[in-house]
Amino acid sequence: MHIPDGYIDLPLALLFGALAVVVLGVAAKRVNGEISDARAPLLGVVAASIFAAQMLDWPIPGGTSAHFVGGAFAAILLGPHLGALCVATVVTIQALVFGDGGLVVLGANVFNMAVVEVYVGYAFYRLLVPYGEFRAAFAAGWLGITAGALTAALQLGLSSAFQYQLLTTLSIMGVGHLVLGLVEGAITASVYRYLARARPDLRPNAASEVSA
Amino acid sequence: MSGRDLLDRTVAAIAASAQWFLLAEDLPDRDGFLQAVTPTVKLVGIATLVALTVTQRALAVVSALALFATVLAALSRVPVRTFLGRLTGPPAFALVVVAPQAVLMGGPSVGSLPLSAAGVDYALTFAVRVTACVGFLSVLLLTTRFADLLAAFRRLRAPPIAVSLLGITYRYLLLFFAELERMVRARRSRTIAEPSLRRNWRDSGNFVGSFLVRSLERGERVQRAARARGGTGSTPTRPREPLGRADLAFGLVVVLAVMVVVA
Repeated sequence: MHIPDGYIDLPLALLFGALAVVVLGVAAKRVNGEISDARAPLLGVVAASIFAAQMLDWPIPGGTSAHFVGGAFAAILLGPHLGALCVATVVTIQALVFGDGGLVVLGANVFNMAVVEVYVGYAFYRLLVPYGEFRAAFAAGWLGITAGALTAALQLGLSSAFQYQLLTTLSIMGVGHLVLGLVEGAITASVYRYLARARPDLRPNAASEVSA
Repeated sequence: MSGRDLLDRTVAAIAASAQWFLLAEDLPDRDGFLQAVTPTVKLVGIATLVALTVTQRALAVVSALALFATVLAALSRVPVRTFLGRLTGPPAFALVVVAPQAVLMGGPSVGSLPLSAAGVDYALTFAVRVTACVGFLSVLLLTTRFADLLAAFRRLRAPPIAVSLLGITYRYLLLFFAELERMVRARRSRTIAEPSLRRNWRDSGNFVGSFLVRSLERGERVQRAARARGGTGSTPTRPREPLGRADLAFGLVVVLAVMVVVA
């Protein structure tokens, strides 16, 4: 889902970059105090580990494989604001160290993967958690990545540089990620299941259960 | 694909990333044109060139810009194989994505072929534009240490906490690559019989979960250590360096490129 430079129009790239800066600025303010100099190492280390975890190949029936993306998982583990900052760090490192994505379009990529995917994923998790934690984690991974892809499709469809119509980009990327997103949802739920058993204190609702 | 093949592929992916990581630390030390340019000037200059490129719709112009990126790479002594390795993937994918337009677009056709001339021109322009953008980004990344890039962001007044986060993440990447590789090799050595798909997924979930828990615990230790030192995660940056002849030359070349393309 990393859009390289040259796919979307400059004004759109700048607009979505500005939106990403605003949302991440608000996120940084909302966690004010938590993201102090002493807290930054934890966030940085978690970002590095999510980056590394993305490299593991997961088997898919039919002989192919998939990768963990981890946007919704970061939101569940760290909360949406820290999760967004964490994934924004991962996306920026991917662009500025490995050249995945682009330079001018970096803000738009951050918006899709660190803002939309994380917040939409987390919203579905909170909405569905009363019906079962694993189902909620699955839905968060599945629908979070689909929402991120739809935003990327919107940017591509509105760009004159990319000649496909908006309806075409939305339907191809939307349907494609609704299917591919099932894998991300399954991975998110699978990792969440382990985490809930190994370190139940890390689950988002652990604090309220302890205080109760 | 067997489970063991998948684990091998993961190890290969980790090794490739680590190799790229180390290469990115080696090339900036070479005696080349862009290596002599101050990172802040280089970052602003390359961003300007990429912004200029994404606004272009003529094949001749984007081809000239792609050639310009190649000349910058050659002047900066970037190995041809490395540069071409970076340059082939995204443009090839771009060509595949926009190739249907060669048929879908209306207008006169190319000879007796069922291809529209406008569509072919569009597809080629699109792919070459992506090539030029990837070329500019590659010369920036291959000639600049990440620490210098972060210092450039600081000088351009990026939020200090964002720069800090990037610095810490980068610092720990190689460590986590090594840790993940060790864990994958250990898992591979334990994999005697081919597991079922269900078992493979369960093991992978446990594996990634265990890796993330270990990482989180490491992060907590690093955080406590930083706090104990009264600490800051921020990386000290070098004092501002005076602009030299290379900065002036690069700045001039960028301004000239903008003037020629826009005019």
